Amino acid sequence: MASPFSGALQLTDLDDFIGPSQDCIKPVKVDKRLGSGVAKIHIEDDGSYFQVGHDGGTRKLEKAKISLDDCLACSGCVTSAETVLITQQSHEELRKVLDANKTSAPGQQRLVVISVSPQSRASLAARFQLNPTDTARKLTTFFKKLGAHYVFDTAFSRNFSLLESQREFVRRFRGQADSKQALPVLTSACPGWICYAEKTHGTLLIPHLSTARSPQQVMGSLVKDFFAQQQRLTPDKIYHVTVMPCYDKKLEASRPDFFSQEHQTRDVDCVITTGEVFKLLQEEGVLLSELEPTPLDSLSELPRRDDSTEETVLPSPGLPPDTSTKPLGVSHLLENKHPKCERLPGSPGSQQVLPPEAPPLPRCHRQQVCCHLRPRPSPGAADSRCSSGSAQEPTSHQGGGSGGYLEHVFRHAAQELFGVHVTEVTYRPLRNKDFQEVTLEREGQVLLHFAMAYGFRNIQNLVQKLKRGRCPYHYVEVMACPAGCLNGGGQLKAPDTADKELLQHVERLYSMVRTEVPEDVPGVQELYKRWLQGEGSEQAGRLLHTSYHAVEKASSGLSIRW
Amino acid sequence: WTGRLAAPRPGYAPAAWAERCLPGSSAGARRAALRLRGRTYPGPPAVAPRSLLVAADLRGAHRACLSRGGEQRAGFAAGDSWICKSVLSEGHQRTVRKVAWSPCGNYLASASFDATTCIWKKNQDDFECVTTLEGHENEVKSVAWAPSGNLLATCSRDKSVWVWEVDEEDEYECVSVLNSHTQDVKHVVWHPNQELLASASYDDTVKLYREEEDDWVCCATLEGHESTVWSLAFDPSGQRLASCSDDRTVRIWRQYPPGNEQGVACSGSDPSWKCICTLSGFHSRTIYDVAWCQLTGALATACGDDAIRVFEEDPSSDPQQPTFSLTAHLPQAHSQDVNCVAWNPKEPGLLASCSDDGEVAFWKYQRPEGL
Repeated sequence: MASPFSGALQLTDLDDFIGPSQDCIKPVKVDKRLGSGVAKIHIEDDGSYFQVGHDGGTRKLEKAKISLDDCLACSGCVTSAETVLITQQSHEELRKVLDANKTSAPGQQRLVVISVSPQSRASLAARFQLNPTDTARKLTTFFKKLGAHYVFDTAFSRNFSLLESQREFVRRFRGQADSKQALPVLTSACPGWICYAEKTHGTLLIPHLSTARSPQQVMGSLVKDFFAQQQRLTPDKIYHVTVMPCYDKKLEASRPDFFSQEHQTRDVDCVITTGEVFKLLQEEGVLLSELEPTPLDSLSELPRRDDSTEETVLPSPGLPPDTSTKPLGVSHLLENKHPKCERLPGSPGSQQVLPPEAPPLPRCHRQQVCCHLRPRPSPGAADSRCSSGSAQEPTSHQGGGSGGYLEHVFRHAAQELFGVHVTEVTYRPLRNKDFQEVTLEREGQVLLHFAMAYGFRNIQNLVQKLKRGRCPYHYVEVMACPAGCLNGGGQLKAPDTADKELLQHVERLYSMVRTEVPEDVPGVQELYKRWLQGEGSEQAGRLLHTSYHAVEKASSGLSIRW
Repeated sequence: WTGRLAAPRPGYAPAAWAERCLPGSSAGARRAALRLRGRTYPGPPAVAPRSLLVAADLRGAHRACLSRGGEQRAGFAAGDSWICKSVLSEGHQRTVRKVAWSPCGNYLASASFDATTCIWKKNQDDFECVTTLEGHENEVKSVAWAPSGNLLATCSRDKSVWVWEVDEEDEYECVSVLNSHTQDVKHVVWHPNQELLASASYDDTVKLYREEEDDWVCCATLEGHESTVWSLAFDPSGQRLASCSDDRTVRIWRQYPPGNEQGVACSGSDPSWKCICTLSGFHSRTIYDVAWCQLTGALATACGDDAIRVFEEDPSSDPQQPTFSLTAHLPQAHSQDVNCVAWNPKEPGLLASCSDDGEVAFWKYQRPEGL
């Protein structure tokens, strides 16, 4: 079975000689009792194990459990059964949560937030022959129809990731005299690369990794910290799903560093790939192109909650659809959701949106008031809640389909460190097109030497250079997939198009989106002030940065190598 | 050396240089066209772990063998005798599985179970490790130099085949990591005059690779063997490929370029490969190695039944459906599995073999009359 993980991850995880009980480093704590001697084990009919002690007393033995989290720590284990692990974090899981929301009591319901990556959107756009804006809007419709409450774009959280990366590089460049490991700075947004680095060259590489969180995980912080506060919910009451172009992102979301012990919840609860979104569309019998667009949600344009408003936890299902006479608190929440209702030609909502055999809508009140999604027209109610617009088209960043780290850090560093304003970043391909470099020169002297290294072979060469102390770069954007995130393992394939052509098409659609400079995005600066209490604050450090851990290779008697 | 490790059969054996020639059994080993030639050396008998591989450099002068303890021994021919000139014991921490001489004869590449490949530069009688190629996840099973001399291929139990490029300053960089096989890759070999790479695997297939733009791609998969393919050898022209397998057969494959006379269909611009001959019923155990003499076209096999066999193509057979005859069969060539055979590239009929019994033997093969 071909592994869906990136090449970097595959090479380290699969091993044809390892049996299930060998090399698994998941520690199972066994309470040793003195003088117990040899115990017998008895197997019940239902398959549970009981230990029978000397005194005849029985004790039920705990089943050893392996989870996706453990997968990260393992240096060669049960991952031949990785399909099992992946399904634990998949669109099926999402379905379960959405279904549970429909049937559970109000106190048990969760607010479902879906964050879509620009790369996944571009892939879907290519498949359905849509432009990125329409794709974004129609995806919003689809997810909300399924039961999601909010649909965001990770390009917004990417602003933070880029800004933090820029600041971090300048700081480390300035401090390079004090620390030999300050440079080169290696990007860390790609979890395939991070898993490989932690498992095979932990001590060598970890000091070089950028501590800035990836856009997915910044979104995790935004949703589970800022947005949760906004919504007056505890983070565990929000179910945060991200749509990503690869499977490695599932492992990133499972990292213990992104699990809040306090609230017992992950920053990102579930990652689904572009392919899984496609499966969901198929299962619903929906063609994305045929859906009506819904205005985009935006984290930066959520109106402020007054302290005078009533506290509301998730609403009871019994709320009447017409809420224009509701207390301020609830309608405030509703305003968030539908800032600008687009009046559709013909009757609002109804057959244009839902195929006849569509499943019944979830009973969350938020859904009921949305004029697009209700099967019956909602007279006037929608209008009173429309407030003036949020940005109705998605935005992106320059510098390629993997986030643009090299380009942003380069421009910022050139300006900050040398006062040079770079108009155009020129890439020079080296050995192959996935390995390119960029230099800033002045009077024949090289001031900045940056590179991008995509794909396993280039990562190998980079690591070897680092090992021998022969790495000439100050900053390297490292991605595990050749051609970057647009070519991730979870992106859609087209049976009738050559891979190369499809990739070029997806790249074109990706670059159609208007780009912004992170410093100029108003919502971002506001959030730094409101939510993080300033750049470089303790909050910012905690919520926008992370750390890495080298994985020790287990040596057990069972792992004799021939 | 006492006993073997209770390992899953790896089918290889580490090697050491035999410091005595083969015993008197050689006298009984005379067969129609195969004679033993060797000499007795003074000195202590070999305490040898098993003999893994022999590699003759292109000038025919040197031989290198590998040892389980991580040693390598390079021997030089001097007249009729073979003397061990150097022992390279630093460099690898585990079994050295394969060695290969560079086309120019100045470098030796050694592939080891410690997941590295060492490149040694020859300096008179001395060898210096100039670089270590790392990156494979586990045991490296084979290494091969391309005829051009600036490309190297390695393959490993991690199912991948790596292509490396060396520049003028002896710097090696990975050019491609090929993950086409689904199991342990046992052997890699380059085409004699094209930049075409072939690999053999535990997944029962042979795969061929070529360069496309800035990467390498798998351009053909040869299916047919029913078990692990252990080794490969191209014929002198490069038009045919021989593969030997755990299924006890040797298969001969032929390349049909697009627009070929025989009307074999090709997809795109890649040639098709078809199996044109299967040698079955000759070997009673796994065939670990096959070698195709570049001078005479004779095919030698190393078998788990301790025997060495030589096959020759019948001169009157149809090139599209050739027949091969067994022209030499040496049953007790060694007292244990024969792991490797290699023809001397300069002296016709000179064959070297090595075995689990820890010995390296040299044989003189004479083509039978009438061929």
